Amino acid sequence: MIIKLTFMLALAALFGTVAFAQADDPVKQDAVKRFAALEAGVEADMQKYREDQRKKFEAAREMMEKAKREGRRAPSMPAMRMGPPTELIAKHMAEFEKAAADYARTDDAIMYLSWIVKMGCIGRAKERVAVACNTLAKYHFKSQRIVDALMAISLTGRLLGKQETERMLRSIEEQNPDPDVKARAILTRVTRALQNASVDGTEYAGAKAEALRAAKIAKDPDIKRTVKSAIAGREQLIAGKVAADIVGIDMDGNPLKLSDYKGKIIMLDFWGDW
Amino acid sequence: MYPHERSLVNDMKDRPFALIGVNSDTDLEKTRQVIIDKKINWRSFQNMPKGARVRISDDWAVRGWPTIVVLDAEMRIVYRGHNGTQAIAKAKQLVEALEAKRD
Repeated sequence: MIIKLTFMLALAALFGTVAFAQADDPVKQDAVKRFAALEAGVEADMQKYREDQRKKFEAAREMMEKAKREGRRAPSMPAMRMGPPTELIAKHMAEFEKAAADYARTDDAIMYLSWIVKMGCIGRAKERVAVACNTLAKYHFKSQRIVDALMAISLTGRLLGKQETERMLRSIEEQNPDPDVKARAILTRVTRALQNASVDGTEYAGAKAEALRAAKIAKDPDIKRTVKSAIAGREQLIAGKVAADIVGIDMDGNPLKLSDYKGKIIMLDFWGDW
Repeated sequence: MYPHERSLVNDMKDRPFALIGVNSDTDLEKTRQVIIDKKINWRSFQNMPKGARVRISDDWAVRGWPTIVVLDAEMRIVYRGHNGTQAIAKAKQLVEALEAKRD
């Protein structure tokens, strides 16, 4: 679960958060609103679940402290689950399936199918994930909005097998006419190796070649920049390499140059106050 | 993290050390106030000042915040990660080694 979420976050960070496209006609707006309402329902249940978990945890902690005070052997703390439980996902899955059926063969179905794939992977609902993936493949791989499903598809490896995930992403690349969608499909397929494989190994070399091919195909400058940055991050910004200088301005608008501090030990902190 | 970094800057005063930030906040005025309120005592680059085409964090392939990079006196990367305690320990160790070398 943690690995899956980490991977999702890594994908989001690498390619930017993929937001569902806002539709502009009334029927599509209805689809977006309906999706938001369904998600709100899931979130409400999740909040309730988290609150229950918190109460259980608090109760167990009190029992533990009481046992300690009384010199008895303390009971162990219950395991806390971070993600949504399987039964909660299963409860909502039918609503998303119904909506996907209502918008069948239109682009609006993609957001519902993506949810089914993503949450189905977390909830280990193999059959339902497979059905949603087949629907995406049959009707939506040529759509520009299939980018909204790439992250979900990337999660299917453990459930459907790595080869099936790769096959789907290659199909999108082959079938979709949009160069940016092709590029994103390639990058989704190679992200894991690009980020984690050993830089001096053949797996990384293959992923890098594919990422550079994606950057070449892409029209969107953000994709090109992301590829460049990801490769630089793996190859140039590792221990032992000399860091590039930063020439910029400080928070008061005064010039600031990192190399002015050369000769000292520098701690460079990328921070924000959110 | 702010109190640890603030103490580090104070402890390292007059020693061969510099803490430099790269701030990613978009509201400059608000961040200036944060710097005052939280007594942030180190200089920071603006990650993407007005008119810039590329964020510093993109050039440095930063994908998680905060990210900390420790550089030696030759600006070689010694540590890159998200663990402030480890980064501070590494920086202190390098400062001591550098001072010993100079003595």
